Amino acid sequence: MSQIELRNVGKSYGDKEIIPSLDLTIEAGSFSVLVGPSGCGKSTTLRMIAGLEKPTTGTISIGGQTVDDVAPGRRGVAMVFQNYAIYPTMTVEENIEFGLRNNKVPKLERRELVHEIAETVGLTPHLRKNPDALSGGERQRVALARAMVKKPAVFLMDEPLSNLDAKLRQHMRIELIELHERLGATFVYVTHDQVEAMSMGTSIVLMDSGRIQQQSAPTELYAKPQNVFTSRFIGTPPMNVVPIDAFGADVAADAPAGAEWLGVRPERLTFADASRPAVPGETELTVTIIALENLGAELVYRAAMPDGSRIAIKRFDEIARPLGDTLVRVETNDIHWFDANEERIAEPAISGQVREVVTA
Amino acid sequence: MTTTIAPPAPPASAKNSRQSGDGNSPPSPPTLRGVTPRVGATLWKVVRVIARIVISLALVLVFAGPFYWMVLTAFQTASEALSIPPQFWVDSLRWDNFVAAFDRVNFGHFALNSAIVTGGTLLGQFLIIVPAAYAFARFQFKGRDVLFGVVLATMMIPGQLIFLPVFAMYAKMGLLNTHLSLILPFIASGFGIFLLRQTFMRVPDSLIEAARLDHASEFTIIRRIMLPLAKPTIVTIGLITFIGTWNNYFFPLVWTTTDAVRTLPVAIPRLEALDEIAPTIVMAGNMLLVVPILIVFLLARRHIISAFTYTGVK
Repeated sequence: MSQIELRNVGKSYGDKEIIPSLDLTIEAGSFSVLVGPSGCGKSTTLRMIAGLEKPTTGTISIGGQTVDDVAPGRRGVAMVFQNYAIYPTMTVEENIEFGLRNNKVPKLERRELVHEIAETVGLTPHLRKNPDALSGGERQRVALARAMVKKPAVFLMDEPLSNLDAKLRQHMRIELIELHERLGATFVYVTHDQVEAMSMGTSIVLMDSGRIQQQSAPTELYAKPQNVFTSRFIGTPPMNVVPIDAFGADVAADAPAGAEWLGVRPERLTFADASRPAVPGETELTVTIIALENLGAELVYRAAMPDGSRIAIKRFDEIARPLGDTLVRVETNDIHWFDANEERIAEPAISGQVREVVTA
Repeated sequence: MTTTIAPPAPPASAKNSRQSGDGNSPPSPPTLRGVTPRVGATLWKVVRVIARIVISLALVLVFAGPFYWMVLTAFQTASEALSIPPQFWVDSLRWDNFVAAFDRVNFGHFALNSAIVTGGTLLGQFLIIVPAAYAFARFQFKGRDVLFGVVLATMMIPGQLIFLPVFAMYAKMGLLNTHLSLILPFIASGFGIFLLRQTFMRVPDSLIEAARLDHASEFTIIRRIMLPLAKPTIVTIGLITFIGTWNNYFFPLVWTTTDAVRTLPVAIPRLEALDEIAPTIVMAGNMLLVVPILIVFLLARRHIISAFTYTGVK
C-alpha cells in the first residue's frame, strides 16, 4: 500500500516547460489513470514517479518516503512500457527473473516465484522461448509478469495496451482490472484513450498542457466536468458547449450569475414527443439536422442551431430521423454551466461541496 | 501535340486482342507493335545475363586469381613454378615448401609474437571500446561531443606521420622491443568506438530504462543487454582489428630494433631474401600467414553481414 505524492513538481527540458507545477496525490491501492491529449505531460509525470526523469522542481514521495534521490530500481515500483521493452537477449524466463536476480534473490526462491507468476499469467509453456517467438499478447504478458514478479507496491503502466488489436485490448483491460483487484497494489496507468480511462480507473487524472484539469472518479468526471476542456474530453461525441443564449431566452434566463457557456451531453437531448408536452424545466427548440452517423446501437445526429452553433444529438432510437428541421427538448437539470474562464459554475443545489478550481 | 495522339492507340489494340477471343470479330494478327518490344526485351535480358556473367568472372579472376596463384605456387616445385608456359595446376600436394618456410626463419617464434600482439590488441580494444562507446552513446556529460569529435579525429591521423615521435617516446619509456609497444597504440580505435557507439545508440531507451527499474547496474546492462545486442558489430570490429594487426608490417618493423617481438609479416619477406629463387617457399609462408585470417573470416561471416544490416530491436 503506497500512496504517491507529488508536490510542486515541475519539469522543463531546457527552455521548454512540460509541467509548470503539479500537485497530485495518488491514493494507495487506487487504479489511477493519467489521461489527456498527447503532449499533456502524463507520460513525463509517470516517468518522474518511476525515477526515469528527474523533476526540475518539487518533490515526489512514495509510501511516505521521499524518493527524489532514490534510484528507479529501489523505489518499489515496476513499470510496463508501451513497447513492452522485453530484453531480446534473454529467454522469457530470464526476462521475468532479471529483476529478482539483480536484487540478489536466492536462486531457488527465484525459480519458484518465476514459475508461480508464469502460471498466473499463462506463460508456463513459453518460459524457455525467446521473446521474438512470441505474439504481441504474449509479450504483453511477459512485460506484466516481469513487473508482477517483483511484488511492487506500485505498478506504473505507460499505454500498455496501445500496441494490441482491439479485441485483445478489450480482453486485457478486464484482466488488468482483475489484477488490480487481486494485488491491491497502487496502479498508475497512462493512456490517451478516454474509454480506457473511464472503464479501468477508480480515479482519473485528466491533464492538459502539464496541468491537472480534474481529478475524480469516472462517474463524477462524466457527471460534473470541472471545465469545458474536461467536458469535451470525456464522452463520445463530446459535450455540446454553446453560448448560453443558444437554446433561447428561457434557458438563458435560468443561467446562474456569471455563466457564459452552457454544456449539454448529446445523449441528454431528446426529440420532442407530440404525445407528451414539455413540462416545466424542459425547453424545446427547433434545430436543423444536417448529418447522421449510424453506429448500429446508437444514432448520432449533427444539427445546426438557430444561432449557427453545431451540436450533436445521440439517440438509441431504432429508426433514423430524416434530415431537416426538427424539435429537440432539453432539461434544464441536464445543463452544465461554465463561466467566462470556461470553469464550471457549481449548482446551488449541491451547496457545501468543496470544489477545487484548477485554472486552465 | 504528340501527347494528344499517342494515348488513344494502346486501348484500341488492347480492345482488339480481347475481342478476338469471343469470336465476334476475326482474330486480328498480332501487330508489329505488339511483338517487337517483347523480342527486344528478351534479347536485352539475354545480353544483361551474359554481361553479368562476364563481369562476375572478371571480378573473380581479379580477386581470386592471385590467391589461387599463391596456393598453387606454394604446392609446386621451384621448376614447376618458374616454367614457361606457366603451369596452372599441381599433380600432387607437396608440403615440403611449408616445412622449408618453417625451417628457414624462426617461424614459431614470429607466429607466437603475432598471436600475442593480435590477441593483446583485440583484448585491449574490447576493454577500451565497449565502455567508451557506451558512455558516448548513453550518458550526458560535459564536453561529450567535443571528446567524441577528438576520438573521430584520431582516425584521420596517418600512422606514418607519428611513428617516429612514438618510437622516440618508446625509447624514453623503455618500451622498445616489448609486445606492449605493438599493442598500446591500437587499442583505442576511433573507428571501433564510433561503430559501437552507433550500435548502442540504436538500442531502444525503454530497454535500458526497464533494466534500471529492474535494479540492474550499468555493468549488468552492458553485459546482459548491450553486448549481446551488439555482438555482430563487436565481431566485425574484432575481425577488422584482427586482420589489420595480423597483417601489420610497417609498425612491427619500424618500432622494433631486434627480432624479439617482431611478427610474421616482418619474417615472411625474409624467405625471399635468403634465397632469390624460392617463390614457392615465399608463397608457402604467405599461405601460413593468410590461413588464420581465412578461418576467422569464415567463422565470423554471418555476423559481419548482420552488423551492416542490423535494423534494431523489434
